Amino acid sequence: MDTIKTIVIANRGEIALRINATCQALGIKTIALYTQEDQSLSYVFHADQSYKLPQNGLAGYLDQEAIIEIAQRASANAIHPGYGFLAENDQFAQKVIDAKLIWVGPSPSIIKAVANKTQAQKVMSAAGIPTIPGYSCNTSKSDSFAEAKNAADIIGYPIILKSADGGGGKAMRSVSQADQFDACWKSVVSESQKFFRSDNIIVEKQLEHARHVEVQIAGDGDNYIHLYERECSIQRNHQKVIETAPCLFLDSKTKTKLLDTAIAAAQAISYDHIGTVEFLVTTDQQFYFLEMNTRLQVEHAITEATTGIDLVAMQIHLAAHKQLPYKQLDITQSGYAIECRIYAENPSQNFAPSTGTITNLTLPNGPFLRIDHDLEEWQEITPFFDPMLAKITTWANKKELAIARMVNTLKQTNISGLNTNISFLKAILESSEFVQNQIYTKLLHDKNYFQAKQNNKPLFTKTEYRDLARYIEQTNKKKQTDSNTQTQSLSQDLWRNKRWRNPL
Amino acid sequence: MKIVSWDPEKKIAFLEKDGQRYKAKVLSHNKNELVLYLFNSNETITVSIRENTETSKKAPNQRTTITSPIAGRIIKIYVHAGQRVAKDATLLTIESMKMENEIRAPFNLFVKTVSIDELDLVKQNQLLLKIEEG
Repeated sequence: MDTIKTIVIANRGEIALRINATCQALGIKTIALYTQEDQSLSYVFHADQSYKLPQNGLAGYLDQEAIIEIAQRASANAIHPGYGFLAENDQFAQKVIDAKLIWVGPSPSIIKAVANKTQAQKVMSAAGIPTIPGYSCNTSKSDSFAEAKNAADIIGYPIILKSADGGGGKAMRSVSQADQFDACWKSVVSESQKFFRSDNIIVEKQLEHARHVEVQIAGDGDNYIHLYERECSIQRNHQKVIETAPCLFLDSKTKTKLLDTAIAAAQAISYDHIGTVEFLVTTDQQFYFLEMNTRLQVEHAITEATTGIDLVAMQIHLAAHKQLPYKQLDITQSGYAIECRIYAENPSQNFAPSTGTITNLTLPNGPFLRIDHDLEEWQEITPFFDPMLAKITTWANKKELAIARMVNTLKQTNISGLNTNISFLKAILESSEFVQNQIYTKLLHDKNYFQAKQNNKPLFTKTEYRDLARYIEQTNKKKQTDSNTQTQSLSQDLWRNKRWRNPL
Repeated sequence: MKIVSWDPEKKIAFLEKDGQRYKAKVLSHNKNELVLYLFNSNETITVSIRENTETSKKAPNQRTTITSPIAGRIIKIYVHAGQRVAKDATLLTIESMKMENEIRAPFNLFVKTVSIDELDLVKQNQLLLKIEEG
């Protein structure tokens, strides 16, 4: 048994803040890492100490040697990888352990066993867990393209092309017809190499109207528990947008079977950390193993909201004590939680990434509301990292109330200076499909929820706004020191000045 | 509408209309536009200040450039100067926020010059290609 005294959080932004909060509450000293671009983000200053990484951008957070070197220099005895970056890199996990540091994650051999999706499906299939029919091929072989295209024809469209070593919706495309195959193949192969350094591509049957349901599990190699399920069917281009817990679509028999199967999956690989077993659920309540994630998930907050358990604290406990802190009977699921991911993207321009400086930030408060973010006014949102700006989680005893709380929260949220998907999220939550629970993973692909213009009656007319602009310009020119306390009628003031009579 | 007060330091204006008070924060303000955040309705509003005469003077649809719709890194350029390109053909790929985004030809065009190199970082609206329509 070890005790974690000082921990390096090898991540950035909102998740670094999230991990920092639990660690500090547990009395653990925290070390933040940052690159040039991130040097003024607040997570850097919330940690007990912070260290600058030698490289900029993505490369900085992927610099395994530098991270371990900093951990040793700072006399830390543990590393938490967060999610993304090095979270599911078994080589890094091994290096951390070799450096006599505690790795807050599963054993490297387990990460490796399920990192490759083809490999994971084989392991699970052998354990009697149903998997989706698919074909895997290696792009380093010259005939891989023809091979894959042939496989797609045999499996039958629609199919999914994805990197066997990918995740987070990157290097993954839906192909609905044969004539789209070539273009999709090209981008998946290229993204797979760039983001995951992988030549392995999977051709898989796309199940119609299937839902994405995943089970949060935890294990210590001997005992295994689940923390119930999350539904992540609201996705855009395989990127989760809205997640909920529980999945109300499952009948009680299927739900029990699904949770049991997730535990069987954990058992099959002697899983020794918290993790997620992802399934696709068809309209007739059949389910298939999709993949396993060996890290904390972005959407962990909805599990925390419905079970009342701090998953980061559980990670710390498992890493230090190698033993589960809970038994299955300790875990209950209550109420309904929703998470919305705020992305820096422009829904009116085909969701193109949006960058810029945040000129206004309004984040509301309210009962059963949690907002995970590391944003502040005048912060620059750069193109170097993920487009996720913030995560909003609401909870209520009933689904309807949780939706109402989320819609109201989104109405009160404002991030100016760049484009976000806030209005898009609101439209989805208010749609009949979401309210009546008729959702599936391709819903956002099939139906357009984005409304270009809102019909709200404007509070002021264009002339009134122009009057205000002129007033401001005028006061700036006059440089009046007492202007902030001045009260006067605008029109009078304007007409006194001849200049305004003539249009510019 | 009445301007009750204007704080040039905090850039906050209190306004009054039909007996209701409003609070607005000016986010940016120049000759062409005013961007403000209205606290009451939680909206960001962009108002163009110039009179309409200015915009109508602009040349009609004839476009002579392709500019970057997003900030990011150029990872692949598929065209070269002197090339004729059909509508919807991929011109280049820009990586932004860990996604590859393809920039396609909005119409049939002729590439006059390519103004960027592969691996260049580009800002939003930065010139990518000089072109001729048709």
